[in-house]
Amino acid sequence: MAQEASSSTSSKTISLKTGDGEIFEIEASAAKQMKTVQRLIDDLGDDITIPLHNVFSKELPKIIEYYKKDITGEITKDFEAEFVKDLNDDEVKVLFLAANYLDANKLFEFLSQNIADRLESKSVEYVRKYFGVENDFTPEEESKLREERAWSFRGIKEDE
Amino acid sequence: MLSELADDIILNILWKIEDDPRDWARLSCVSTKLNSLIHDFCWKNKTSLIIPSQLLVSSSQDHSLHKLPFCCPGLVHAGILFNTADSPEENQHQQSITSSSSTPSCSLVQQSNECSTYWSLYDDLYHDTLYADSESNHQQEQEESKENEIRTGVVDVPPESKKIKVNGSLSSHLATGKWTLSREQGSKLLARQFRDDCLYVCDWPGCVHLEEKRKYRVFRGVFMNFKKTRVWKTVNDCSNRRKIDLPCAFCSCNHTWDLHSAFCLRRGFGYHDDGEPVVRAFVCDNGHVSGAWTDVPMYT
Repeated sequence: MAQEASSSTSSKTISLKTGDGEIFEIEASAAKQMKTVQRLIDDLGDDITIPLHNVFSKELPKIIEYYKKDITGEITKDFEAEFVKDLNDDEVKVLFLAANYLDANKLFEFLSQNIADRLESKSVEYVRKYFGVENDFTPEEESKLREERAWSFRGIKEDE
Repeated sequence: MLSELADDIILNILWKIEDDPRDWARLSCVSTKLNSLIHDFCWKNKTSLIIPSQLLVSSSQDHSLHKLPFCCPGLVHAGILFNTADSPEENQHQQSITSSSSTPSCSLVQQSNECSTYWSLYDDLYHDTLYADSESNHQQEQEESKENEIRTGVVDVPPESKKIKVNGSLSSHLATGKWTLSREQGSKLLARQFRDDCLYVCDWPGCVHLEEKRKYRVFRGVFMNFKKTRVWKTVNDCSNRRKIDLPCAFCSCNHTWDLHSAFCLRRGFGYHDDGEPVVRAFVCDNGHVSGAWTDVPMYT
């Protein structure tokens, strides 16, 4: 890649390499929004392809799309609604974990809210599966908890 | 895996699920970690904004207190379905009412602070929502206990009743109306000699239940330092006639005390033509109160 004269980074792009070996370009100003990426740039320089071992080619383009809109100030409620509209709960989860790894705060907050919205009214079993947690209550503890909370299990719609 | 996330990240999501209090209550059944995060941070914060600080400070911060602002005891725990008949004839009368009113009373109300109910006495006296598979054991236990003998004062469930999904208006459920508690509401309930007792009750009108006969404004509340109150002394001194087989909606107490017949409620509320009291209230040993207001009859 041709090296550019240094002072302005506004037109500079950074190369990111995913954990499954694909390379994507991102504008330097967008990369700045992802603190993990920025730290790697600071350490390795902006001419090198930045390795992102925990992010993969399925989700990185979506993340780049988000930040492309962010740096031009075009993130609206409509855009965000559209952004997650066709994603299932697992896809949102993967994006969320990637945003966390990349320390991409704005996307991370947005996806936290989206996950919260998706978990509303879901069953206990669904949430366990979603978070990947085991039921670590004893049967007696669980039974007592559920009895105390019987009021909260009423009027809830079934999982889709 | 999300399970490896730091607590503050999980909490960040949990804070955003706060519109419906039932979500936190159910989420605390997911795992011990979620339970302690929700208890130590979510509920604690929420109740500090809703419950008067005097009451908070003097109470143990358990789920009973956390659910009090949000949980309506329902017609069951407010004693509305409770038959205190002592004689077998009266029990039989109650049974025949049960089996003959097969026409459902359907009152769907659109107002936001009314509780919409579809209620058939015959079908679903105690049956609540369908439970998910993992909860079916709990449901089975309930079924088994209902097949036992009639205990005094309990309306029995016909064994052939089918389980139908209702919105929980009979047993405890998410309350409509305000989720705040005030001492002022409590003081409207108690007779004058108990004015030094601190009773906090949910703000008016409570959770409104429109039933066939009349409208019930079901309320819930709690006494501060109950064992030191004059009400406690009074019900404790009464004979056991005042103590009834009506479990508390908020804790594991199996019995509650009838405040109306213990003369703890303000005088002059009176009765309806069919013998129902205009106001009823029941308190458990921990000071949790469930009850209901009805409209005062126009003429005596």
